[in-house]
Amino acid sequence: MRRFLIFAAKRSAFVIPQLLAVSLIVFTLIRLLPGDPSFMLAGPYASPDRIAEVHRSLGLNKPIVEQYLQYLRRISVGDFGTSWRTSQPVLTDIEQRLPATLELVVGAVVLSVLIGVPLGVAVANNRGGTVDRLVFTYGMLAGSLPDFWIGLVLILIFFYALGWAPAPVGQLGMAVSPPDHITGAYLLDALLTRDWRSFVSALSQLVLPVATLVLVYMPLVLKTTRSTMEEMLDSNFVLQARASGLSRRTQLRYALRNALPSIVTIVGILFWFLLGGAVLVETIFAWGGLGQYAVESVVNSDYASLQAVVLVIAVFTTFVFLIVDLLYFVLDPRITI
Amino acid sequence: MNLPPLLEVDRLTVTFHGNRDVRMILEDVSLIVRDSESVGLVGESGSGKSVLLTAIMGLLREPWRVTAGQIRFQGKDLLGLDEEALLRLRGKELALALANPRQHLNPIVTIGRQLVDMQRAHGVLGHEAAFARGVALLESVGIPDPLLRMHAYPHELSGGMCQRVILALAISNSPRLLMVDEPTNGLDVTISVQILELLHGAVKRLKSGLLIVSRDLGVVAHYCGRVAVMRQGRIVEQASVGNFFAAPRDPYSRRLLAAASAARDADLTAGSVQLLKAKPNQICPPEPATVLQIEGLVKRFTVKGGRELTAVDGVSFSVHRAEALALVGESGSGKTTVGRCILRILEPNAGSIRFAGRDVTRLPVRKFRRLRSRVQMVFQDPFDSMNPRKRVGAAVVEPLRLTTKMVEREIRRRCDELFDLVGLSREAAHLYPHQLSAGELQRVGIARAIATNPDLVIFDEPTSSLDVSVRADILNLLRDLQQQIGITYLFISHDLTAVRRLCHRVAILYLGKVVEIGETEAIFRSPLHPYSRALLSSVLYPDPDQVRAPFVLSGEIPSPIDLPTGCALHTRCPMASDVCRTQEPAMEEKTASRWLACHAVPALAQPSPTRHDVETGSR
Amino acid sequence: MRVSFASDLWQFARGRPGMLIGLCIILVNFALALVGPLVAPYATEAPSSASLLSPSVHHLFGTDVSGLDIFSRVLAAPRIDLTIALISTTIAFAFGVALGVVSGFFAQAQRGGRLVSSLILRLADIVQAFPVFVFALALVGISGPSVRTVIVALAFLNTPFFLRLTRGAVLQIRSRTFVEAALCSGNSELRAAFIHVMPNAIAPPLVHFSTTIGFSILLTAGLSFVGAGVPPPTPELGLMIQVGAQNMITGQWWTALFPGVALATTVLSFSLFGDNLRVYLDPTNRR
Repeated sequence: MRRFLIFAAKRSAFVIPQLLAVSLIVFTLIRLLPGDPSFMLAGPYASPDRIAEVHRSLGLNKPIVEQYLQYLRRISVGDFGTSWRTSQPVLTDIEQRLPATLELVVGAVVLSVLIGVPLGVAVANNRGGTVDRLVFTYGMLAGSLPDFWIGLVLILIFFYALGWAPAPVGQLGMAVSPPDHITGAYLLDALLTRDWRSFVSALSQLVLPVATLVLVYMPLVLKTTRSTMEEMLDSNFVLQARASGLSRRTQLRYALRNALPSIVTIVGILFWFLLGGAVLVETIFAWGGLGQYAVESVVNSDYASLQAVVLVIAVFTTFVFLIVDLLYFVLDPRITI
Repeated sequence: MNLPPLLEVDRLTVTFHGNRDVRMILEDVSLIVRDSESVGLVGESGSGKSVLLTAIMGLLREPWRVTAGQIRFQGKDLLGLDEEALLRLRGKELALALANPRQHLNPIVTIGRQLVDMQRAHGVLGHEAAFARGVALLESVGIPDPLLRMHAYPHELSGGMCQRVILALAISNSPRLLMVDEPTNGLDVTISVQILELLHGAVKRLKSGLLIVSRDLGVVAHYCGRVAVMRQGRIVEQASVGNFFAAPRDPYSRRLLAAASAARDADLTAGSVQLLKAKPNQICPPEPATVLQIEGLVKRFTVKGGRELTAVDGVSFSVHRAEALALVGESGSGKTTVGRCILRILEPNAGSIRFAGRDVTRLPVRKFRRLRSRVQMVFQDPFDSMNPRKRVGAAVVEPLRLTTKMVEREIRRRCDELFDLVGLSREAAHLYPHQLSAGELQRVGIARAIATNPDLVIFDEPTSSLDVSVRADILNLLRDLQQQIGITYLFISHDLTAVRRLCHRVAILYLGKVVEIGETEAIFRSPLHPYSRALLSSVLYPDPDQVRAPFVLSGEIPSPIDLPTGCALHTRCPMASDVCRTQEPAMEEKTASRWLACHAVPALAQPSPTRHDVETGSR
Repeated sequence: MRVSFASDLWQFARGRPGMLIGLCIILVNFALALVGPLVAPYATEAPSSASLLSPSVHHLFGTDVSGLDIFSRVLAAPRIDLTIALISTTIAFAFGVALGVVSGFFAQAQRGGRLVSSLILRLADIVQAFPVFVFALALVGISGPSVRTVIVALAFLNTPFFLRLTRGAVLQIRSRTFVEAALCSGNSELRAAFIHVMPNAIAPPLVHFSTTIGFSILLTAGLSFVGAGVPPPTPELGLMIQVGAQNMITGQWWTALFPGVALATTVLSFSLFGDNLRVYLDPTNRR
C-alpha cells in the first residue's frame, strides 16, 4: 500500500508539468493566427467595444510570458471566454455538452471491454478454430473502416431499411422532453428520476451511435487481448505450469493475470481513440456533444470554443493515462518506484 | 527383478514439421532410468536433450510430433494417455524442472501462491495446509527466511534462489522420477555446488530416480551413476559413470571428455588426448615490461532509489607484455566492470589506468578514441557482438578504417591475413553473422580484436556461451596466437578450466576487490585465501575418482549495494573472526609472488592440501 | 548464398493471399493516382448529368446531388488521398525515426545525452496527449482547410508514433554487445547510433509506414467529411461521403456507399500489407 502511495504521488506530480505543457500548446495555437487574435475570438459580428474587451482580456499589449500567465489564471478558474455563436460563456457550452459525449464514450468503452476481452481470451484458448479465423478477419476489416461511414451504413440498414432503430436526431426522440437535470447525462438522469419514457428513448437513441463506435474500435481491445494471451500461453512459465500438472483453468488464470497490464493499457488507448472518433459519430447522429461542438467551432471559425474544447479533451486524456499508469502499477509488481 | 524400470524410452523418434521442411529432432532414442538411480544426459546445444525431456512429459506441441517409439513410466504407456491423465501424473509422480528458472516462474504471482497452487492441484486440501507445507519446502531447499519469501515475487529473488524454488516446486509432491534440465545454467560456481548438493540430498531422501541434463561433464561425474551422451538427436553412448570416464568408447564422447579436461597443455588431436609434459610458463614466457597498470580502480553506479552500487572497490594489478592474466570471480565481483572501465565504455570514479606508463584515466573520450587501436575486446556472445546486418569481413576491418589511415588495398590484404590467422577461409569474409557457427563467429571476433595489432586484448567471458568442444578449439587458437604474435591478454572469465589452460597469472576478485593474485598453477594447486579455496573446490572436474574436499561458503553472495564492513567475505567465511568484521585486510605478499588480502592467513604459511592433482596422471 | 530480399519476400507473399490482395489493391491505387483522372469517363469536378441518378450502365456508381458522376470521382480520388498520405507519412517517418534513434540511444547515457533523450520523449508525450483527430481539427481550424495544412497536420501528428516505435527498438538494441563493439572499434556515439543501430531498428517503423498511410487516408477523409479537410469540389472520398450523407439517410444509398467501400478497401489493403510485412520481418514468427 505504501509503495502504491509513493508511486501515485510521484506519477501524479508528473501531471502538472504535462498539463502546463498542454496549456502552452493550446495557447500557442491561437497565436499562430495571422493578425490580431482578438478579432478572431470576438467573432465577425462583434462590436468595437466587444473587440476591445477581448483585447484587454488577452493582454495583447503585454509581453508574451505575461500573456501566458494571464491565460493560465483565466483557465484555472474556468474562464474560457465567450462563444460568439452561442453568445454563452464557453464554459457553459462545454458543461452542457460534455455529459453527452461521456455517455457515448463510456458506453462504447464498457461495451468494447465486455465483448472484446472475453472473446479475445476465448479465441486465444482455441487457436485455429473457425471462431479464431472469423475474429481475425473481422479484426482486420474493422481497423480499416471509416467510423463515420459505418454510422451512415448502419442508419441506412437499421433505420431506413428495417425501421428498427429510431431516427438519428440526437440524444432523445423528437417528441420526448429531457429528464430533470442532475448530471446532464440524459440516460443517467432519466434513470435517477425514474422518467421511464425519457429513459427508453435515450437508450434507443444510444444504440446506433454506440454500435458504430464499438464495431470500429472494439477490435483494438480484441486483438490486443488475443495476442497478449497467446504470448502468455506460449510463455515459459505456462509451460512449467503445464509440466507441473496444473489444470487448464489455472494455466488460463496465470496467463490472463499476466496479460492484464497490457489490456488495461489498450483500454486507455481506446479512450484516446474514441475521443477522436466520437467527433465524427456525433456529427452524423446530431448528438449535441463536445465533438459536434468542436466541428461547428472549426467550420464557423469560433476560436474561443475551439481552443477550449481542445484543452478540455487533452486534459481529460492526461487524466485517463494517469489512471492507466496507476492501474498498471497495481497489476504488475515488477514496476519500480 | 520383475519390476519394470521407472522410466523406459524405447526407440523414440520426434520430428519437426516446419513450414518448409521436416526435420528429425530425436532419432531412435532409447534410455532407461531405474528406481533410485541418477542418470546424466550429456550433450551440446542442439543435441535434443531438452526435447527429450519435453517429450517424456507429454508436453510436445505442434509442429513437434512423436512419429515412432514408446515411452513407459512404471510400465504405463505415456504416449497413449490423454491430457487429463497426464495432468494427474505431472508434478506428482513425474516432475520436471526446466532450465533458466526465473523464466519458468509466473512473474506476477507470489512464490507462496505458486507453491500453494502446485500442491492443491495434486490433492492437498486447504489453503493453510498447503501454505504451511510450502514454507517447510522452502526451508528444505535452503532458502533463508522462508516465511518472508512466500510473499516475494520471482524478480526479487536471485538466480540461485529461483532455482531452489523451482526445485521446491518439483519435489513438493514427492515424485518418483525427477527430471532436471541444466540446474546450474547461469549460476555462479559456489552457488551451483550448493544447488547440486541440495538436489542430491533431496533425491536420496525421496528415494526417487533422477534424470539430469547438463552440458557439464563434471556435474555428471560427481552426481550420477550412469551417463548417456546425445549428439544431434541420437544417443551415441550409454554407460556407467565409472566405465565412461575411464574409457569412453565413442569418438564423440572422447572428444567431449578431452575438451572438458582441465589439463593445461592437452593436445586434442582427434581420437586421443595427450598431455604435453611441459611445465607452466615454459611455452610463452611473459616479458618484464608492463603493458597495463591499474591502481586503486573504483567504479560506482547509482541505482533506482538513489542508492549506490559499488561494482569495483579499489582494484590494482598489472599485466606484463606477452602475458595472459586472468580476472576471475563470480557475479558481483566486478571483473566485467574492470574490463569496461579500461576500455572507457564506463568511466571510473577513482583510481588510475596506465598504458605502457602513460596515464589515460582522465583522458577525454574523444582523445581516447584515438587510442582504441591499442586496446581491443573480444566479447562473450559472438552472435550478440556482431552487427547482424554487416558482413563479417567489414566488421573485422572497421577498426582499421576508423583508427588508421590504411588504403583500401592494404585493408583488403590485412583482412585476408587476419582470416588466415584465426583459421577461417578467406571467403567467409563475405558472409553474414547468422551464416556462421558460434565457434566460427567467435574467431571473427578475435580477428576483429587483433586487426589493429593492439598492445592489449581484453577477453570478456569469450568461451562461456560456447559448447565444450568449441571452447577447446578457441583456447588453442588463443594460445597459438600468443605464441605467434605475442599479444598481451587480460582474460576475464568464470570458466576456471579455461583460465588454467591459458593464463600465466590469475587474480581472484570478490565483491569488487582482488583477494588473491599469483601464478595460475600455484593458485590452482594450493589456493590460500578462503574465497579462492571455495571457488576452486567448486569446480567439478570430469573425473569421478577425484577426491574433493569441498570448502563450502555458506549463504548467498551479498549485494554490491550493501557491502559488508571490514572484509567483504566475513558474512560467509568459516574462518571469520572479529577483526575480519571491522578491518579491511590489506594486500600482502604471503609467499613468493603470491599476494593475498586476508587476516586469517598468516604470511609464509604452509599451503593447506586441498586437492588431488590431475596433472600427475596421464590418460 | 544470400537470397535477395525481394525474392525472399515474394516467396513469403506467395503463400499468403491476404498480402497479395493487399499488394494488388495498393498497386491499383498507385496506378489510379497516376492516371485516374485521365481514364475517368466523365469530368470529375463539373456536373455531367442529372442529379441523384441510381447506378446504371452509364453511371456505374450513379450521380450525386450535384449531378457529378461518382464513379469518375472515385477513380480520381486516389491521387489526392495518396499524395497527402505519402508526403505526410514520409515526413513523419523521417523525423520520427531520427528523433527516435537519438532518444533511444542516449536514454542511458551521461547527463547531457540523457537530458536530450528525455526531452524528446516528453515532447512526444505532450503531442500525444491530444487525440489525433481533435488536434488535426484544431490545426486545420487555425490555418484553414487546404491540402498543405492537412499534410502538415498529419505529419506532425504521426511523428510521435514513429518516434516511439523507433525508440523502443533502439532501446532493445542498445544493450546488445555489438554496439559496445562498434564503440570499441572507434565509432563515435552518433556514428554508432545511425550507422550501426538504426539499420537494425528500422523494421518496426518501416512496417508501421504502410499502416500509417492507411490511417492517414482515413483521417483525411474524416477531416474532409466535417469540412475541415480538402476544399470541395476536389474529388476526395471523405468529401464525397459528406455530400452523399444526407441523401443516404433518405434512401439514395449509392451516393455515400461506393466512396465508403472504396475508402475501406484502400485502407484495408495498406493494413493487410503492413500486417503481413510485420510477420515477415519479425524473426520469431518465421520458419
